[in-house]
Amino acid sequence: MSEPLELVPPRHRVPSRAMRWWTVRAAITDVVLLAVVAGCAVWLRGVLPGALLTAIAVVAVLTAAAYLVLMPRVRYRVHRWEVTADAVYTSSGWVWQEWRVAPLSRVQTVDTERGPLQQLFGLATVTVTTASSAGAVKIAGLSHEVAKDVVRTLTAVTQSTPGDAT
Amino acid sequence: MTAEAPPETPEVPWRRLSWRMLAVNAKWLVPPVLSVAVYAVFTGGNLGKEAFTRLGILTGIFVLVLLGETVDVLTTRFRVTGERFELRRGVLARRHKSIPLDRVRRVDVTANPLHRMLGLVVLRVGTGQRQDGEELKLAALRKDEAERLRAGLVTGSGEPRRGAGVLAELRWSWLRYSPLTVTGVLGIAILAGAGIRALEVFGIRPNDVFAWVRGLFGELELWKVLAVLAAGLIVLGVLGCLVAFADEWWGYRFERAEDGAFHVRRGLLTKRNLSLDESRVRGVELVETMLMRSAGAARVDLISSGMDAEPGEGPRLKSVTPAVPAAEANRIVAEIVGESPPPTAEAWLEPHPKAALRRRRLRAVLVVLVPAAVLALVGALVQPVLVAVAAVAAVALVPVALLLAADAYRALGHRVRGRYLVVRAGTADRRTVALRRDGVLAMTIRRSPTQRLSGLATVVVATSAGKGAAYLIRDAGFDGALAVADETVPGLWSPFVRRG
Repeated sequence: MSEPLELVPPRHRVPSRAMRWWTVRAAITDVVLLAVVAGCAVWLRGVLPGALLTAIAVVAVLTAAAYLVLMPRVRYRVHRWEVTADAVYTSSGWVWQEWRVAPLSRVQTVDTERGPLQQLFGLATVTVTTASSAGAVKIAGLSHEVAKDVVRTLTAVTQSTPGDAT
Repeated sequence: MTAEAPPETPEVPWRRLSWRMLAVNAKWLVPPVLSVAVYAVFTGGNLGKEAFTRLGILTGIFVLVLLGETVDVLTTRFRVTGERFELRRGVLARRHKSIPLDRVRRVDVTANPLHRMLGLVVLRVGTGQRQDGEELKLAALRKDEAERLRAGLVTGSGEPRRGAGVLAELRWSWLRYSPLTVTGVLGIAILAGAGIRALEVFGIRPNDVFAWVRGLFGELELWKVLAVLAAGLIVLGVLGCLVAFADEWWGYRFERAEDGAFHVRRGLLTKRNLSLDESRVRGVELVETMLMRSAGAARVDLISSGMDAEPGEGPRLKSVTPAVPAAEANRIVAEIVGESPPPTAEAWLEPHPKAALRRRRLRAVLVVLVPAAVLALVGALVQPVLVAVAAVAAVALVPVALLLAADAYRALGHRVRGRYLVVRAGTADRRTVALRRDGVLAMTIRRSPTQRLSGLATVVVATSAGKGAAYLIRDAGFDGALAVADETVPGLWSPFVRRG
């Protein structure tokens, strides 16, 4: 334990169009939240001083803009995945970040999920579940074809594992 | 993940619940009858129109419950075939549940006094499968039949093991810890409160009750009355704890059978008998609440899936001992896990970095100061007295919060020991978890922005059992987190960790 330990990032990145997918999602979230803030501001007009309302509006717009610009880029830098002969390894998140490993011998099911936005960008999310609700591994924003390959590989491995993987 | 069809088995006949259960179900008629009686006593038998309606509705509800339960009893069928436990129930909405025997995690047999008079027991099966409810319940079986069914459901791993025999038996000296575990005084106060509220249904106001109580004391001053009542509450609370302990743990016996199944027997009025397969146990928790620590006591909980009883269905199943001396608890842990010294024993654990202490101190101070600041702000605007209150509260509570933070930090520790990963944390409830390393399903290393700044990380260890199905090593040093993760499941992290 003389030298400090560090994590090796998983081998693969997701395709860069995942950034566009996250941007669209951030835009939707921003629009909804800004609408709520605007609604409240109109409702509170006259109750709170105008300067305070302006300040709140400016902060809200700046936060929304920062989220729209930063979140997809940071996420893209963090998001990585790897499937080895023994394990699935992912890194995810942006403000809170996590690195997760599940041994293939513990995998119970493998699912793919494609929402309307993901279909638009040709992306898919692969979810690998274990017998623990805290042990599911998600690889979001994979290209559709790669996702298919991953599912095929994982299904083949897990079917050859005896027992109920608890 | 086996796909082949089950081999043809000769048809196993379906069995029913006992008819005697219909007598037990008559208990649902007790609350309405009792309500009428209570009302009659308090009013001298004059049933007003309003009270009549209320009692009528109450009776109607209970009759409906009675009918529902009766239909359930009459329509329930069950059987154990070679590989599955099957259960059918219902007339209009028929349900058919079928679970593979290897999914049965525990069998819990209980008999309350009413059941015992009729020679009946209730049998519950915990499956640990969230999708179809944690529990299957057979509401009334004859005792001998339940015993046969239990033997068929929990078979253990079959191979005879070392250490079969009695792991623990009741000692009456443990009674001294019972007031530390149940919040007796609080319980009595809540009961009294609920009772007074319940009387309101009949038009008897809380004030009437207080006036009546006040009357009992004659001319005594109010504070003396309150002091007597408080003392009475504490005495009653302690007595309640002793009685509750006796009822819950009478005849307690925790043993390991030859086939490797655990059995916990206990109970005075309601007898309980819990059985579970040792191979399903993922670990052990040593639990010490703050009060228990002050008296050197601890409790042992098993970590196994399928142990969550339905809410309100009696005491925690996973607790396999009452509060016992800490040394005794550790001895029991050692016998359960088959490792000596026990992994949970007070011993050297890897401490967490000082940054974890600073985090806890900061949080403790914020928890006190933020509400105080809000209170002071409100006070400054509307009621100046509140500012002083906030200041006094802050000055008084910050040291307490800091002490708790230091205690929380002292509790933190982790270590891989034999077949177990040991994690300790907690102030109000200090838990020392010994988790079987071969039961670990996935591991996550998680870092918040502040954790990244201070070189800390949290390790999330996912298992198939336990609260939230995961155990956390909070605020370990980043290095330590990687080291313990790599050591817990050898080879799992090593391809992804390098020396920098």
